[in-house]
Amino acid sequence: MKALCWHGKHDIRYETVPDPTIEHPRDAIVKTTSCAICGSDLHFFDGFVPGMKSGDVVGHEFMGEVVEVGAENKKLKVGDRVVVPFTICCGECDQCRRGNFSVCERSNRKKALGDLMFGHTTAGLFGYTHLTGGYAGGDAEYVRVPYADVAPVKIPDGLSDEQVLFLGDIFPTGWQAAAVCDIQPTDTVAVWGAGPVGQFAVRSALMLGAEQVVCIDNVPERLDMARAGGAITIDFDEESVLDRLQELTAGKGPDKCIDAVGMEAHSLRSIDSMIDRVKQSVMVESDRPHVLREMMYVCRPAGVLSVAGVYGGMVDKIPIGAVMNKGLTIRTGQTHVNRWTDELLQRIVDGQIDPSFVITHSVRLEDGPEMFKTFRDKEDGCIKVVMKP
Amino acid sequence: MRTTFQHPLSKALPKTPLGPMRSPARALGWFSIGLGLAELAMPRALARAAGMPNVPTLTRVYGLREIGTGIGILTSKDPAPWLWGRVAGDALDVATVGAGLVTAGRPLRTIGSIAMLLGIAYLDMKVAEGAPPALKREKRAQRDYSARSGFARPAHEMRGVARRPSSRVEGAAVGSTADASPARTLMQASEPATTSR
Repeated sequence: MKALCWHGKHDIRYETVPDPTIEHPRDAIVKTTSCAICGSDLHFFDGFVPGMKSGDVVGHEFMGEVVEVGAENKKLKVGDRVVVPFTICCGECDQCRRGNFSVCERSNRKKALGDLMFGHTTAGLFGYTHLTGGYAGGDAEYVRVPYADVAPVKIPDGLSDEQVLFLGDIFPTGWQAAAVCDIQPTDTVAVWGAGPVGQFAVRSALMLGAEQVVCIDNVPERLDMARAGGAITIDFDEESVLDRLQELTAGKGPDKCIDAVGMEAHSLRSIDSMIDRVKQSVMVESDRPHVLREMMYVCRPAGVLSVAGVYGGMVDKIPIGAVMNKGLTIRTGQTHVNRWTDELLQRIVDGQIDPSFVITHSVRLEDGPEMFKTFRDKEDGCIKVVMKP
Repeated sequence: MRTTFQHPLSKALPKTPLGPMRSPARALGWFSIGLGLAELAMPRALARAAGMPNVPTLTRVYGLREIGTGIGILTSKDPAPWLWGRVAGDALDVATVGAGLVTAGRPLRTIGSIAMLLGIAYLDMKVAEGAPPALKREKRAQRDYSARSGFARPAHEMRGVARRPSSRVEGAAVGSTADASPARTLMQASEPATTSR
């Protein structure tokens, strides 16, 4: 079959790899009908995430048709149309029973690496390094889905791929980022980053009742899209983020702050990020946490910081004094996708939201390598790329 | 009347008309002037500290160069050429300090200084690379997404919709989950299954 494979920094190739097979009775094989490039894919594309091996099939946002089912899989049958969450979960371990699916204790088949890196293993993820299991990803014609009797979400007739594809990652990720903020009707919610996750966080915060949603970025078309979703926008090239947030909140600061940027904050837009970039280049710091610092500084006392953006390792100069003395709460984590999928699918069916609004580029899978660059460089108004094998 | 708030941290930051690169470029401009003054005022002490050859006249000339580029960065509408001037100066500095490996007799200091100079050179290059497009790029949307709300109703009508008991939005029917809901929600998934991997 054909797939997108990682071969090094800035080197994604469309090439032929062996077809996946059933390896366990609970598995299923899914024939991909749509897949997408995620912002977090850029972290290994840009060489900031360790644990990739040459030839790894990438991609963790995908959906398709079930074409083969293991003997013990009682949930799926051949012909089912499913969206597959990016977190692989067993459904049986203590964390899965608590709904903490992204920290499933059993699905990372390279648990020792996860333990070494993070202290404790996290869930296995599709197409996202050997720290999270080294599972082949979804940017491929076919995908083996482990524990396929647990996470895959069956999709009803009448919904297009474009409407439901993002149930596997970015819609629940934006939703969880807002939901864990415990939004109150008088809250101002500030969202850093108007990429795909930021767009869903904006809409989620609005749907969850925030009085005011503010979105911070510097890409005009992304800010336009955030405004369409109900946000007041701040272009950090044009005005001071700190001053504007103070102004919008009568000097109190936003009640809830969402980081939809993560480890690759712009390296040339602030002195602290430049220093971080230099440190990254000599490997004394792995991430650029400018957004975290800014959120901690500007957030209203007793507020909540919700971190949806991906961080991978170590950061420096975190104003922990502001966090402690202002009594801020930090909530973070990879998305517990299946906590939200039933509810969000119903919201799509009910017409509350059509997630396809975020798609700006729809291409063939073979165009994927080029689209990684287009997406990273935000060229041609690119916000979200969907690929068709 | 619009009330203007200014954050205390923002008050402390310099204001300049140079656009998004203003802060890094200005920081380098002031750094350049500071270093230049130090080279002018105490060339011997600087040479000892950096493990470089003791050549006070040359060090003072370098100081004048640093001050010149610093002023250029801070005052020019287009600081990019001045920033590239810093990069060239960095190369000169590395070569000069590197000579200290032979003559100064303090190799560890010399190596440390070279490492620091390379870090500064990298910073200079990144700012120089970023400055021209950032300053000259016209901020205009490449595509118009201003109608892409994702909502069936105007955005302000969707505020708090997830808090309301009835969630269906009229005229926006797109399908049914009646026959497709997962057989069990994972929160309830408790039936023991088979072995793990």
